[in-house]
Amino acid sequence: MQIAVSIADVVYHVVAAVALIVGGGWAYFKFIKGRTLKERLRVTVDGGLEPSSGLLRVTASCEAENISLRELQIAPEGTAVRLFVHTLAENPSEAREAAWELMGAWSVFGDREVLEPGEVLQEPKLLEVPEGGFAAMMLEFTVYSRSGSYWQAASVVTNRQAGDNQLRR
Amino acid sequence: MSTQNIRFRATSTKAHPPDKARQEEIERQVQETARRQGSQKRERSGEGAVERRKNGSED
Repeated sequence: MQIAVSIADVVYHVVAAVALIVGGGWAYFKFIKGRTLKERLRVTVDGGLEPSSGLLRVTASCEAENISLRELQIAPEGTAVRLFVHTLAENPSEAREAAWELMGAWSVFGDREVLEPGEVLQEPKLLEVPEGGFAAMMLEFTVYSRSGSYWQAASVVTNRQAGDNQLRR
Repeated sequence: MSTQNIRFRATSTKAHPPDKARQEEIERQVQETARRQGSQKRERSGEGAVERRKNGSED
């Protein structure tokens, strides 16, 4: 009888140890490696250009989706969409990165401060830009969290007819 | 820019580390744009002209 109790005790401790290791490993991969409870966001900017009697109408649909399992505190400061333009000033003699000129920055999501897990926020913007023969345009959407981290999506569209390399603005 | 209904899209999930200076720069640009647009609206509605007359800079 005493031997049976001892065996049961050993089995109990072995099973408990294995369960602890398996549970710990699962928690490690789920929460640490999988970053389940880290702040995670998917930001998207969807732009459209439409010329309209001397103006360029730029539609910018800004979207942020909380893809983590914890709420995300949005910081209104710095959460914005910015519009840049690039103008061809001269014939480049070598490869170089384009210089961007800021046309404006507009706040997005107002005073909305909390994004629940799985929640999607979307805000459309209609921007008007004087049609000035820009070679390229860039929309950049940035979301800041209260922790200071930020997410950013930027998209560039080039003017298909800007190959003549003239100063057009 | 001669364009005809061009669409462009970008998505990202990359988290960037805190950058306070960049955040303050964007916020400053947002306020500068709002201030500029506010003054343009006042110009269009005639308030700007009234203000200039009050200040004696326009007859």
